[in-house]
Amino acid sequence: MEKRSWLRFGKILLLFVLLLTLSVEVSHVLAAENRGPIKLGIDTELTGAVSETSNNVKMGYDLYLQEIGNKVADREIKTIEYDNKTDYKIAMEVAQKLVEKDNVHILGFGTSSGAAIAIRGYAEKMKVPFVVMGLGGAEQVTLPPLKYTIRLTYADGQGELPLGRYAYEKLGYKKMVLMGPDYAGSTGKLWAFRQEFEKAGGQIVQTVLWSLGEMDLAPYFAQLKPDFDAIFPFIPGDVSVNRFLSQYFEMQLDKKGKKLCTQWDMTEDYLPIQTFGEKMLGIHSVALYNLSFDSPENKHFTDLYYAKYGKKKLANNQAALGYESMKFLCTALQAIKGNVEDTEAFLKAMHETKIKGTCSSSISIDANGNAIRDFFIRQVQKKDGVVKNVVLQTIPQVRQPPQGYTLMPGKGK
Amino acid sequence: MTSDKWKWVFYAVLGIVLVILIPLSPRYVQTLAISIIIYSIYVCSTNLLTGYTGLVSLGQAIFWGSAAYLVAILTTHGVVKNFYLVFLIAILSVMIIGAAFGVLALRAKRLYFMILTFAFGHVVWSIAMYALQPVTYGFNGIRDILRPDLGLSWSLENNSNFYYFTLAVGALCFFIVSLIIHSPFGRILVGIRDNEHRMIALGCNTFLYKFLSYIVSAIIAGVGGILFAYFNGYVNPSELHWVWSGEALMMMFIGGIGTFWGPALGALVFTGLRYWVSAYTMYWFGVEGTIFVLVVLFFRGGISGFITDLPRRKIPSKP
Amino acid sequence: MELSVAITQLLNGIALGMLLFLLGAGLSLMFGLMGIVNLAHGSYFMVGGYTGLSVLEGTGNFILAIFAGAASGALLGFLTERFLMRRVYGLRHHEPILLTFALSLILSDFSLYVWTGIPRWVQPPSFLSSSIDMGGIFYPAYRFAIILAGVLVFALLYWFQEKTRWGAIVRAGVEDKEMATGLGINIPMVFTLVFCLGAFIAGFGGFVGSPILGLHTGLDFEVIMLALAVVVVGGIGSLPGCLATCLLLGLADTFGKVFWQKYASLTIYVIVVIVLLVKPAGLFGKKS
Repeated sequence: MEKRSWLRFGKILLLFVLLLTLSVEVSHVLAAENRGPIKLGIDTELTGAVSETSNNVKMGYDLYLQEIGNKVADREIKTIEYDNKTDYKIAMEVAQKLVEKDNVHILGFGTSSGAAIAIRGYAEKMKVPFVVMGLGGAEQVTLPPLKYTIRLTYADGQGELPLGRYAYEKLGYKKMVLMGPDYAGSTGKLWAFRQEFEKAGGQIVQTVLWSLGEMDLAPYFAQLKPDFDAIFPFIPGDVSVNRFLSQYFEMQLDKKGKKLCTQWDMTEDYLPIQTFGEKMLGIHSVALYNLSFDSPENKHFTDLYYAKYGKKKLANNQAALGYESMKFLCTALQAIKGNVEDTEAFLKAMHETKIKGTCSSSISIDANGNAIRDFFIRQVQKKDGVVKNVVLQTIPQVRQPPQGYTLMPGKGK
Repeated sequence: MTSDKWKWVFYAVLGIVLVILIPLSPRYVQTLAISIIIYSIYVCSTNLLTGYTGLVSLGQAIFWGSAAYLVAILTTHGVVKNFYLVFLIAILSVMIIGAAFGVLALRAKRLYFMILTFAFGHVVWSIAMYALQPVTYGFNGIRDILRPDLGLSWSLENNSNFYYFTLAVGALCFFIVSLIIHSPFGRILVGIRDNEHRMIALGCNTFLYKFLSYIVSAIIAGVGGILFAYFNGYVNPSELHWVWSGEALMMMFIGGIGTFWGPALGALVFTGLRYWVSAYTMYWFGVEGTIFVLVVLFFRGGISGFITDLPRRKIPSKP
Repeated sequence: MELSVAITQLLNGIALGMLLFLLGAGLSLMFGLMGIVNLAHGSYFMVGGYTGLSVLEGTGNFILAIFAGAASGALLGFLTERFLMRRVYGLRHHEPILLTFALSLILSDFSLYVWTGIPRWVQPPSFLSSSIDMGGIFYPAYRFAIILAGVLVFALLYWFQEKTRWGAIVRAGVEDKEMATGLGINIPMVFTLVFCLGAFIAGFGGFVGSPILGLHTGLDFEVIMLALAVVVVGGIGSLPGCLATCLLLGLADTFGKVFWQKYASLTIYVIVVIVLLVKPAGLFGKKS
């Protein structure tokens, strides 16, 4: 190669070194600010498969931050948010970037359990509090427990266990079918439901699973054997819920008396009820928030929500979770007077904090770092001429089920 | 000054950056550097197969991912703890898989070869995702992979030490590939890439050479996968996904197909750029795609080609 | 398996096969004529779907949305061919493929920018959202419509190819480019036409298929692989062969989901592997 080529190689190398030094300097300068704002890093799914969920959660926590004027105990709280595109590799990179380059005090996280499981080990090693604010319900996120991992939302099974029991005892379903995609986030919930349903006396006669990302569900509906009372499905992602329901109705299963008994995503006021209206009447679901719940906290939340976002998208479970998570976090920060640098004190404050949820009488954390909260059994009914969810029963202060409860056999650890 | 002298100046500066500067930089720079080196090993394997032998494969992730999974499974399940044994098992397995798939895939040509490699990749991905779920934990992946114990007093838990380890392995891989390319064997590979029919006419058993190239590429990709598993501490089916194979091709192309520095430059640009660009925009794919289009249309030799001024092929006049 | 279930699954398989045909016919045509694998073909499908969705949301008119989706596909096809592909004809074989791959990345982010990363779903139009009662078996009307649409597109394409002058020109170009040029046929224009036509069908398929497949980021990458499977298994040069292949793959995929749930996503690719090893020219291929 000619001298010119080596010169060029050299120039590129020099450019690289300069860029490197520049970024190092910049981040050092930023870190050198004394005290400065509380830095909350948020590693979440703004695009990709679970992005609708994470974006709803984001609406919730942005709302709370706005409510408190981005200030806790007189100190500014600054969020540094990156999109991990629902890709676990990018989620890891983002976590590393937030912790090592942006020097965040707290590492917040969105929805994807798989990524959360990977990141919590890293956060533990780096001694940075890892706070799951979106869904990320897999049991492995908080079990076995890690000191720095806290999940403010809920764990798989927390809702499904009470629902399983309710389905047999109160709804009289004797035989049920489980449906969902074949991945831990779904099978975990299905299995939890099954445990309690069968313990109460019911029988699961069939389990239909499909590959994650499967687009056309018609072949799976066609496989259902005729002898069952109801289906418990779990579908991740909101729009997929519509697709499931659409095909459920297309196959006339509701007319044949095959009921649905589900987790809240499938009966939310803001989407499936808007789409299918009266067809949804009668469907039961378990939820941690209900739009029509009558409490001052819920009124406060929905008023703020509509003021900021308008009424195009109704308030929902995910937004409520985001709002409550941020409220919880900020309450803990308030308790330590914003002194987030004292990580021990912050973790202790998190474990001792108790807040009133939008619907839940109280939200707090158990010894494993998972949230304890109320759950509600609700049904789609027509009240005052409007199709909506109505709470039938409150199940108070539900905890995460013990380890192993949500692991479908043959699906690994 | 002669070009030789400039070459040594360049190498000296590079050496200082790699051996001294980076270990002294903040942790996140080291982390980034380790990722780049490991990815460049992966791209180096693709470069050998595609850049020098002319076989476009969408299945390199099979070897990267399988090796990574083997490390994960063997160490976390406590089956084998010794690093050297794990390494040996992973490499041997990758060789066997490479031989099996190679024998079948190489019967097809060009596009069909590419699609076959993609199909094989999809099969392996499904196995990790569904069939072997009790062992691989499917979608959730395998976590808590510990750093290897080299049996020296030098611990790889330390980021800096791991960086040196990675650097050494990376340099070794590049060196080996360089030896291969400059050997008679390598020259035959290039001959096959440029004109397979002529090589056959000259009495060369091109199938055998392509097969060997396929296996060697598989081994090198496997080395990358092993390092990745230990470094990342977590393995999940996306390491086997065909998109990852496609990204290797892209990195190779951006860096300069069929060049020595191509893989390193490609991995550097791809990873480094993504790291910085994604702080400002989430439309990273669009940026990547545009760079790619520009490279294909105007800088056909990639960055490396641009640097060494590869003569550009003339676009044929309209038919 | 009960008869009613078997019939339902059979219809599901045929409907899926028709969607595959809408996806794969264009790619097959392009590959046959130009020897180029257009990895952005999945993007035409997806962008067509999204464009149709926007028009549907804006006007409420499903038919108009279908045209919009198809037209956007054709436009993309035209732009691709005219400004990108023309520069790389005749170069080493992997450059056009890589170029189209790069294009698919750009289109992917373009879709992300315009329509955001939140998965979308299109509801079938009200006149097709009921189910048809076939003596106890209820089958969604919309899926019947898709089967009809597929048959219609096939019929039109076949008529075009076999019975019209332009069709003959395209066929000549596929058979022997040099000879066709020698006979005074404007090959570049033929290329452009084929590109547009293929992309038009893809855009049409993307929107028409969206009530079943949905619209989300990554759909383009998912469907391009299906399209490639169609081209590879079916071989090129035969339109009826392409249709038959698509029906075969659609049925295989559907029944695969019934019989081996866990590996259902593999069914099509296992067939790809077998066909490539046993008959590399494809099941109905006329050229290798």
